[in-house]
Amino acid sequence: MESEKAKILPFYVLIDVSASMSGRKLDEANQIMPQVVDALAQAPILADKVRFCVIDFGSDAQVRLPLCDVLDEHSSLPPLTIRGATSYAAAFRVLRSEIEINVKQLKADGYLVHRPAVFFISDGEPTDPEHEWRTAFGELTGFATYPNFVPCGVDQANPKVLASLIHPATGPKQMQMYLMEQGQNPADAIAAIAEILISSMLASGQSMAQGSSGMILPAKQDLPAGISAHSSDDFV
Amino acid sequence: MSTHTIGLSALGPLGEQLGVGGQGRVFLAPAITLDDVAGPLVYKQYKPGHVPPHGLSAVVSRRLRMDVATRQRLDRLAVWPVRIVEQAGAVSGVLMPLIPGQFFEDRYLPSGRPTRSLREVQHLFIDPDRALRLGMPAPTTAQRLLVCRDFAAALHLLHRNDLVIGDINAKNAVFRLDARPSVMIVDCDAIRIKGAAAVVKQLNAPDWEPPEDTLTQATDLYKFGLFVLRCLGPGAMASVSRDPARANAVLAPEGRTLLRASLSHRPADRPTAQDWGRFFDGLQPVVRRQSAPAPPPPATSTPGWKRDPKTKRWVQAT
Ligand SMILES: Nc1ncnc2c1ncn2[C@@H]1O[C@H](COP(=O)(O)OP(=O)(O)OP(=O)(O)O)[C@@H](O)[C@H]1O
Repeated sequence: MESEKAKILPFYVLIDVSASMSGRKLDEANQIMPQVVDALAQAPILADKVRFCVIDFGSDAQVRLPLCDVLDEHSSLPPLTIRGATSYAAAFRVLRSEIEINVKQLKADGYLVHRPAVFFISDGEPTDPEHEWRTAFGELTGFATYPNFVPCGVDQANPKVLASLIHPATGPKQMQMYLMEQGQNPADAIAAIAEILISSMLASGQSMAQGSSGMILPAKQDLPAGISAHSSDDFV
Repeated sequence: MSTHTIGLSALGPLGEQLGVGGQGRVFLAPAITLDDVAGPLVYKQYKPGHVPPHGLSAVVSRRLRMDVATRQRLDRLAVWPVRIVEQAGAVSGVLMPLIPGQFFEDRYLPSGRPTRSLREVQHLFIDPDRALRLGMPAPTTAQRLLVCRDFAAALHLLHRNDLVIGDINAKNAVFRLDARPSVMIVDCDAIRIKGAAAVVKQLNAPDWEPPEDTLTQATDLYKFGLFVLRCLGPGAMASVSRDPARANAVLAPEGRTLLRASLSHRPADRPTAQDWGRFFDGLQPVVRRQSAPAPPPPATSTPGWKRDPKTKRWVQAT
């Protein structure tokens, strides 16, 4: 038999841990990792396809869960903790460097690597200067292994800012943005976004086959209540 | 309305919703019994636009035309659609037998949440230690060989009756290990009668694609080869493997030859389900029972998570 290379989808979740996230919002954010593990425990062959990484960002960005097979006996799920401001630039830089290292490693281990998938969850506006996070985002999306980037906003997040982060923003493989609808409880919205990212992870992993883009987002009619999906031209 | 079709009103009040899939919702139908079905029934209500276009009545009729003994065997190995359900002259869903409780596992998820899971065959493909850690059984090699034997027997019965399963994959067969290890095919939507079109378009699940484009009994045999390989050689990347050498350690030379031939790109090379059945029958493995008691669930209120060094399960850090 021909030997086929296995294909891996690296899946990154970036979570805002700025001061405004404290309380119930952080509690919900802290449920994301165990929920992802539970979801994979119910579809355990997906561990042959998906690797998961969590980065949190406040005044700086830190890799909380290095890209791994979360069903592995030796991986552990760290708590997220609040750290001051909201540096999008730090988040984008750490993500870019992780992707670069992880993809290199996976390839060296003999895998084919799908374009990385990113869910970026924020409850506020970036506190760093615009040119700084724009530059960092340009560097993230401008290199060969740029990720499919799905921004998600709750509470005080700025729809216009987040819409500008959808990547790719156009074309057949264009991504989307998810926003908390007006009047919703932000903690509930984070739980709903967790649901979306898990169903995207499951669907993407399941469908991954020769030629597919490696990232599937739920259909609009299947979104949980309180969340709306948008494309990049919805906010100008 | 013919014998293979009943009106929605004949179902009486529906019970609990058992699940939702891409194609529809599944409800208990406790108020109806059928002479030709032994156990409880469920009603699968198709979502609008997901009613199978054709072929359903042929699949339902085929079962009703079987002699009683064959039909009873069929009902043990497949969750076959037993009646078409119509409302106002249009197909609204199908009646099916309830999947027996022995194919479900009560377990705790890593977070400590209790759940009841269908024992899909995907759980046979992962590392057995991992399966145990996730609260699923980790069958011995002997039990795995018996599961394969039962699957071969099921496939043989279907093929002998001119049926094509089509979409054999990691989720549409379930297994049990108690009494006699066995499998049951739970999604019969893609089943087709040889010479007729499928009820729904027959598709290949990712990682189960056969070499040829058209799905036939020969592609069933190729996919069965993948099943044997992945079930007998569990572990990392088994679910995507097509390398027959993976099962060398547990297969006698004759079995290795059968497996290689099953995965041949030439359909004519592939052994029949009966060939496989004879091979597995000849092994007559000794079955040992194996059970792992579920540890109690951890608490779920603080934010950090770590592995308990003893139980290897996720617990929340304090
Ligand atoms: N006969 C049955 N007995 C008990 N539970 C069932 C039965 N059929 C389906 N279910 C439950 O309902 C759920 C959905 O059913 P099923 O998977 O057949 O729907 P589907 O539309 O074909 O789904 P998919 O999107 O996977 O194709 C299953 O996961 C299972 O839990």
